[in-house]
Amino acid sequence: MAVVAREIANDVAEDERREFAEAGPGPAPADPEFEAKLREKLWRMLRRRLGRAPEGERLDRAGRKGEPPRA
Amino acid sequence: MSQPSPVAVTVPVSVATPECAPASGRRAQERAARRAAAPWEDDREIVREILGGSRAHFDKLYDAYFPRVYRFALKRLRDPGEAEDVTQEVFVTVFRALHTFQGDSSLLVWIFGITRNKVNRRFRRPRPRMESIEGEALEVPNEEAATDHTVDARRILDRCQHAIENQLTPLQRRIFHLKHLRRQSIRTIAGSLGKSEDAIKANLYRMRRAIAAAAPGLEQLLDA
Repeated sequence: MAVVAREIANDVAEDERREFAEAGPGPAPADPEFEAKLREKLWRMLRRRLGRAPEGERLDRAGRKGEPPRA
Repeated sequence: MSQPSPVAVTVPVSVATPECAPASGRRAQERAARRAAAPWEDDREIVREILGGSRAHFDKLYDAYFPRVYRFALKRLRDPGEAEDVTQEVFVTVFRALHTFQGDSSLLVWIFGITRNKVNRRFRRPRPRMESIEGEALEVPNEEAATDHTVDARRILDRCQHAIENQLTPLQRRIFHLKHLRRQSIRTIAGSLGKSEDAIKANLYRMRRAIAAAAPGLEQLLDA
């Protein structure tokens, strides 16, 4: 049974990969507000990880927030 | 603001019975799917641009994959809140690990693998508590979890067995027997049952879906 189940699992994984790639219609669209909020959160997270200030915060010339600008 | 999702204008390809398509048609479908999956030429290039700070490329990737990840999760978890949690986990993982992407596999395969793992984890153990999207930090729960994989595998196998015995039609059970236990080819099965090969493939596909639905986390067996 384990071997057969593994075969089926493999076939199911292939079915799912194909489904994911084709992006067929889903049960329901996502909440646009969630999609937009997550996009902005991720972008801010990425910017922090890249060592860049989130947009709107000028850290490049002013140093850390709240510190006086560097010469 | 971001551009409209590029996947919104792609024509979905039916996946109801993919095995039914002739080989040439299937290859064409797969090519179309790859184009739809990545509306850019080179995965490594878009990753380089994102890591270089390009918002436009970040949006492209997000637009291409957000619907896929969310739909995949929602279809399996059947709960919009759970699907949102998984979507958040997937993208946090993707963007945290983006610098490690070498292009050995495609972004599609990589992101699909992360998505499937995150969905499967929901079946394996008590639901992880996600921080609200409103919160300042976007944290993914610790991957470490006290999971007894042996017990999990046993439970999955039991569910498979139960589904085969109770959820398949008599024809599907017959096909299952010939395909997986007698190791017969689809052509041979079709001949012996007086059915077309497409009918056999369609039944196999429906059978797999039934078993996968009855035994969530079935893919764990591939890692066992």
